[in-house]
Amino acid sequence: MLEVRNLAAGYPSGGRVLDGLNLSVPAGAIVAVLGRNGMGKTTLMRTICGLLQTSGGTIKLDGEPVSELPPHTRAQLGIGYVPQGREVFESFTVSENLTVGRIAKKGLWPKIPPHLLELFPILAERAQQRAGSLSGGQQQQLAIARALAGEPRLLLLDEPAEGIQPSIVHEIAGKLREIVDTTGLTVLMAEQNFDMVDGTADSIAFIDHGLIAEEGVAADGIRSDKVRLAKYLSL
Amino acid sequence: MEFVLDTLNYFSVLMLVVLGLVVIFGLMNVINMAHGEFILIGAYTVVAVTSAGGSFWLALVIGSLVAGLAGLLVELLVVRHIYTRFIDTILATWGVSLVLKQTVIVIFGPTGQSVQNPLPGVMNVFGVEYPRMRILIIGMAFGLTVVLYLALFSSRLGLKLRAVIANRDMASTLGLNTRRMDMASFSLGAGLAGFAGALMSPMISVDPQLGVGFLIPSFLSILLGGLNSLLGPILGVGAISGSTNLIAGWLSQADTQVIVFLLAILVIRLFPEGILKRRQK
Repeated sequence: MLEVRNLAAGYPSGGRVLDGLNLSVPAGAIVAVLGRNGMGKTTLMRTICGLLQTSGGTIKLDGEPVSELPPHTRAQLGIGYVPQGREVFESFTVSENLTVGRIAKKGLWPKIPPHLLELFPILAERAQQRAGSLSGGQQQQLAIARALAGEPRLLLLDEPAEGIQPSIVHEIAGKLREIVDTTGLTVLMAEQNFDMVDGTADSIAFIDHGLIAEEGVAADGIRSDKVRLAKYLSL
Repeated sequence: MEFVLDTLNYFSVLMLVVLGLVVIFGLMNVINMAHGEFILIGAYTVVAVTSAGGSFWLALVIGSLVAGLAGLLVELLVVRHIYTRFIDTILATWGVSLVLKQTVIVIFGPTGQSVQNPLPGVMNVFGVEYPRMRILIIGMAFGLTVVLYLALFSSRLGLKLRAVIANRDMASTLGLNTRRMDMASFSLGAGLAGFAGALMSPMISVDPQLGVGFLIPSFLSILLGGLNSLLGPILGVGAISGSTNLIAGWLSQADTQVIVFLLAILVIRLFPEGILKRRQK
């Protein structure tokens, strides 16, 4: 579904973070990218959604090359993005945040789909509240729901568990699994938190110094895989 | 009462100019020094159209369109290439303003021109005899400002625009074409300034310095009100237009300007991020 080949990308100053990265994400799966800080997880996410330019290699979405397209065109093609730190529109209401996610996409009926609000009841409850006044966990749910409002085919999640209490992490993980199982959405998630990966991911790709060192590793039993944890996460 | 009407007159026209400046700054982080020249383009288009025999009302529409088109060209030819370099945009748009002003001088000459008042006579407003044209200016400028604010805060297009202002990268990853938004807003801002210039042209001497005369109070209004909200500049415009008219009742125009600028400097010194800043978190 998502095919990344020989991807090179970095920052405008010239520093190359990714250099020759390969990754495949099958349709309808949740793939977690695990790795230490600074190994290129966020750069990978930002490059796939188009906020960072590629300096080499290709990104294909269902066979269609997207690496030369601007971010808004990639979004229209079905790439949804939830950035690290959530970046909800803080001065907007919860409902406005969701509406932006919806109306930014062409050809969608502007009304927020009811099933989205059923999935995240807290957002329905706080619809008229300013997004900036929500807790971290609620903002994370809002950021995910905002991306889902645009009905993406591929959802990119950058450290969705960061700074969120464990019970909420479990809750979000359960919902993600439910969405993927019912809609066939594909998810690529950069994460360091095992509680998030454990319950949701189908497989794991380990990122190390800008390369995917191993992919397709089964997510079950990753906690007891001492060798890989030591190698890629220094645990 | 006359004071209120005079203030409203100045307030409403200044608001149209400021609104364009605020949206352009909010969206692209560009301080548009050429904004005053779009007022000039609007006013001089009226001069050209009416002296060619066209009606003032036709000229009002054409003036706004010509200014909007000029804005689009400036965005495409100059601003789009440099809007990531803050200081350069000030210099470049200042350069654009010089070019536009000199072009106007070359075509129309350096002296002031007048436009025939399309709506002569006075009418009674709350017991005051007030020129009908001025009432129309207040009505149209005020009405347009209200429509724009409503559009910005309660339409879907306004929501998209605010999303881009709030977080450009995030908005683009949701699917919004930020470049197109930039072009449209820059053009709309220029068109509004052109409309303001065209609308008030029968009441003033249309001369090449007109733009600067509006640009400075506009920037003062924005500095006073702060750029963090869209409500701040309204208060800024109110403060500037109110104090200008109040002091103008006793002193000459030049003295008034000096005093208003000094007052503005004082307020900016006390509230460096705008008078609304303290109420925000």
